[in-house]
Amino acid sequence: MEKASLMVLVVEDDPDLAALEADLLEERGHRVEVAFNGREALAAVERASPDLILLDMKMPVMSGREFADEYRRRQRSPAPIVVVTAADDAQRRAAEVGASGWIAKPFDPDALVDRVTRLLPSAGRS
Amino acid sequence: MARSLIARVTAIAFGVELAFALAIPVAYLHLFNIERREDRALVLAIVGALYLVRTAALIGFLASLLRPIERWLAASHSSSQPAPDLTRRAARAAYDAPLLFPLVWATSWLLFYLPVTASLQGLFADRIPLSARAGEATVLFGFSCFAAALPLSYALLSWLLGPVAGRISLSARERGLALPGRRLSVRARLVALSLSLITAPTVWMGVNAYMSQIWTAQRDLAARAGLLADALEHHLAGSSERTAWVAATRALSTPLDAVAVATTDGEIIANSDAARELAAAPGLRLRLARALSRAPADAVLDPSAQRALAYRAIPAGTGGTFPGAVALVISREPGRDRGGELFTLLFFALVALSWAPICAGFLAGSIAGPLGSIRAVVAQIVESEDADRVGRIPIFHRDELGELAQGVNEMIDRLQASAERIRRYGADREQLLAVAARRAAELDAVLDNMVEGVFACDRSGGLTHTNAAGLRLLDLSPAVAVSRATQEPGTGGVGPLHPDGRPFSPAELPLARALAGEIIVEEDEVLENPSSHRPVFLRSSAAPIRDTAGAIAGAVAVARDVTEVVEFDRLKDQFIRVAAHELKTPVAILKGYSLMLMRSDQTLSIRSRRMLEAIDRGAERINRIVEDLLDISQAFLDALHLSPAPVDLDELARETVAGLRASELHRVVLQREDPGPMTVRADAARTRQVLGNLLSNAIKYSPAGGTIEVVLSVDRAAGEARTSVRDSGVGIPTQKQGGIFRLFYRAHTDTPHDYGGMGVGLYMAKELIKRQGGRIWFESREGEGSIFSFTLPLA
Repeated sequence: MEKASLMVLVVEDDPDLAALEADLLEERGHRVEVAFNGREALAAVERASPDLILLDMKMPVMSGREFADEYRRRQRSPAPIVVVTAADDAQRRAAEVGASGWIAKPFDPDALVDRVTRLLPSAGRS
Repeated sequence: MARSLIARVTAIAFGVELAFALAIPVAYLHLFNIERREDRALVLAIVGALYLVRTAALIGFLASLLRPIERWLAASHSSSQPAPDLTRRAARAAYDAPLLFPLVWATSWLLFYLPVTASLQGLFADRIPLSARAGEATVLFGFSCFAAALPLSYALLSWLLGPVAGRISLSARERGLALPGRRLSVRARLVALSLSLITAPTVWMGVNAYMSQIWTAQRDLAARAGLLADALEHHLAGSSERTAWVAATRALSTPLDAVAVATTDGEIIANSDAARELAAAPGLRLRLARALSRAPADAVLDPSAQRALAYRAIPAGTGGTFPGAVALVISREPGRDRGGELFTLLFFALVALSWAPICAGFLAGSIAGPLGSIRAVVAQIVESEDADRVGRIPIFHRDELGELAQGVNEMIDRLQASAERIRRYGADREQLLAVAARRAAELDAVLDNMVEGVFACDRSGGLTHTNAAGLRLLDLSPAVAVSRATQEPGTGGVGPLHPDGRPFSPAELPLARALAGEIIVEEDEVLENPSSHRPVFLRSSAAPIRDTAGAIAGAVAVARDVTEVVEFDRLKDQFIRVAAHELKTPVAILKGYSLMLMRSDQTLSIRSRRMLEAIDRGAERINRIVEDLLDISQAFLDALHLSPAPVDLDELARETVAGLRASELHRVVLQREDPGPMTVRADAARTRQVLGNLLSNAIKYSPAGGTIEVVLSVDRAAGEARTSVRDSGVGIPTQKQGGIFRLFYRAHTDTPHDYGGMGVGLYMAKELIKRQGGRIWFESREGEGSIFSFTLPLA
């Protein structure tokens, strides 16, 4: 299977989990930027222009939701967002921020990679 | 006073009698026409002597009659109570003496003048010659005296002894002694008295008229006889011839007067008419013989009833043939005595003016006394509210009045007994009321110190009792104690709500339901605190109050403010929820890295790989616990978000079975009993969770190599689809089956079949199925296996 190299922004306040997500994706050959809150993420999208954003909802300084709103406001063609959350109503929260998908914590590592791969823009894959 | 009863009775009785006793001899002298001073003195002497003897005897008798009374009086004046026997004897004496003694007394008067007359006729006949009718007259005179004495003495003694008898009767009553004594009715007493009152003057008038007629006739006759005797003596003077005597006697004789000459022996020697006349009156002839033998000289014989006889001695010198002859005249025909009649009238007037009023006065007193005491006691009963202070009526005489008094006394006894009963009832009632009041106060104290609010209402729903805690709750919201839909619009504010936020309808309120007969145990309602606008949770119980017949008489509700408990519970659930969420991230890191390590590092030793697998299993186990905790806290917070939608049950079951963590040791078979569509209305994820729970239990408790069947069926009539999971595992012991759906209940705890777990799966399954409108149940036999089934409504 051809592996496209993509830029994925991981927004996650827990450094270990952020590292796990980054490791999993890098293992598959993707490039990963990590931001520990929404504000850092806003800076990161400027710097790295990610193809996909894995977004935690509950974070200090700026929450996932605030980031999503701000990001949409600034970016004319925003990258798809996948919400990674421990909340019971993950699906509803994902819909609220206009995410393309959601992953419930704790996630199956393979499932995370699958989901990311599937959600990546096809243009980037070819 | 003690020693004076006999003296007093004697003095009064015989004092009153003495006045009459002095009048009676005068009547006697008049009756028998005793006129000469010496003769009167003689008669009065005899009468006086007899009177003294008689009176002394009567006083002695009266004293012996009254002695028990006097002893009783003495005993009752000293401190000691008179002995019952003495009381009985005194009562008998007091009642019998006024009956017995007047009889004796009157009888003494009946007999009194018989010896007087007899002695005059016997001893002094020559000096005071009485009429031939003196015996009859004396008997009638005595009878008249008897009739006069009887009412007087009875009235006197009744009047004197009645009050004493009354006192004795009261004392006897207190001792419970029956009253002795002879009973004589008022009717009998009055009849006897009135007969006496009529008899006495009538008999006196009769005998007096009769005697005065006799005396008048006799006085006339004697006068005529004397005149004729003088004339004959004059005729006979100087002539001793028998023929001349006969002629003289014939010449002087009249149709009423027989004139004769007799010898001094009384033999008629001239005029046989006179001899015939004399022969017709043997008494007169006897008297003549006796008179001639004693006083052959000039004399006038007292006349008998019809005839008078006068004689004169003829001087012996004139005739000589019959010296000692007497001129004899026998005269007939009565006349009238005006003076005697006047005396009779005067005497009668005296009696009428003194004796009868005295009798009547004493009699009235003896009747009025008892009546007065009855009236006084009856007035006491009428006026006094307190029957206890009412005295008893003394019984003066054993007659109708006495019985009336006795009846009133018994009536008072009953009145007092019933008053006593009423008083006792009253006292008992007071005591009961005091006990009731104390118990009510205790209950109030208990109720007011309860944390719970207590509300009682009557059948109409109006509050009858509210304790202190209840009043505080009422301040919070008047709606807590409303028992029916009487809340006025506009006053209500926020009414009570169900915990899920629905408002209570009026019929749902605890008191209203209790009034309808329901018993409510620990139901929650939510109010809003009007000042802080924070929710207040009440946990209420209510029950109807039934009367003795079982009908609902009211209702009682107990409400407890459980806001703190509820909030603490909520806090705990939230803590669990937050904690569980926080666990998810470390679990994800553990699982992720262990898996990644196992997969990417091909150089790992078998030992290292086993360690990583153990870490992964442990993390997975933590993950399951976290899931369970989240489910529970969601269920308790009522935050299980179900999104029912049409779901193909068959597909769902297939996915679930396929998604099971593969176990080589068990086989799971899916069977479909209905070929048609199996679309149910359910939350797909939650339904998957339920089926997953049932399957994981079935696998857990089945032996290796066992087959687990999932059977799907449809009951279109009932509008539901059924899913059954059948295993052939260890089964559930019968005694443990009851709690199988309870939270944290684990049927196999501490048995060889304890495979761990929190006891949450079946609880959650039940909660989820219930919330989707389905049912869940099971059949199980120990050692043979179990079948768990649930239904879901068809879409």
